[in-house]
Amino acid sequence: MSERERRTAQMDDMEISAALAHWAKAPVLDPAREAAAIARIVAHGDELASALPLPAATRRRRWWPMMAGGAVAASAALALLMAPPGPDVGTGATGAAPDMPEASFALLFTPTPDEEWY
Amino acid sequence: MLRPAIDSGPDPETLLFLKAQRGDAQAFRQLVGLLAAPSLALAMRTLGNLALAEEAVQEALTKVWREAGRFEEGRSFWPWWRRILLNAALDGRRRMRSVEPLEAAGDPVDPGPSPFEVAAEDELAARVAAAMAALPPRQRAALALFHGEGLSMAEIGEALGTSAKAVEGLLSRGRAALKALLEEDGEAR
Repeated sequence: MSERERRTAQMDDMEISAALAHWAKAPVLDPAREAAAIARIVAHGDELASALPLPAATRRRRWWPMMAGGAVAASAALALLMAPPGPDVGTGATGAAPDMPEASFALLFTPTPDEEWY
Repeated sequence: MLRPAIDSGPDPETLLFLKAQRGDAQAFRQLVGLLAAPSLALAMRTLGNLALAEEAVQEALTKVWREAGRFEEGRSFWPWWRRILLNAALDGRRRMRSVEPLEAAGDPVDPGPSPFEVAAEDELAARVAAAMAALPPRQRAALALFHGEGLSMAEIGEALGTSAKAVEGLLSRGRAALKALLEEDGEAR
């Protein structure tokens, strides 16, 4: 066992930290391999930028006004459908719009004077 | 280093990304040029394999380009990018492929000649690199961010999608494992 190996066999915390800092900061590849890998990554980025006209986010933004408009229209339609009847509907007080189903039902089952006779 | 040393206003990468977010392809190209080297180094330290590291960086870039709209203006690009990159690197399939057996700890991290090998006199550095290759990728990522980037536990937690407390555990287990491997290796020689 060499002197260096004997020392690593009993490394203290400071030595471990120093070794880790060296590992985390030293170059991990030789320059030629690193340059080749970086060139491929840059080419990939270039391909992405060229192949897609715009990021999805920008495309989504075009839909945003349409979706918002649709939501507003749907809300307005729902509000109209759910609105309570106006004061002249169904009351029969004004005679402007009598409650027709109820009127028909009454006519159907109310005996006429002739029917009452028999 | 994977981030600027001083945080004074939006860094160039954040500004470029904001332009890219608005559809500026040229800004995206410039951003990729700035990100490539430090990101490859971090992925390499995490995965210990050049092909997997390169694949992870490319996948992360694709995700950033496609999901640019999710980035909130006013935030820094770096934490977001780090998280996406490490997610890609620590993706289940890739992580499984990067695991190397303990017996391989004596071999270099990368099959090709590395500066560690070229500088043969730096025996300790080579042994540390070999021992690091035996650690789980998540521990390696935490150690690389802490000792290389100088990030806080909270920042590492953000990058790894975990709590600061969990990061403390990762770092502590990583250090203990490294120490044990080096001591074992020293005694075996």
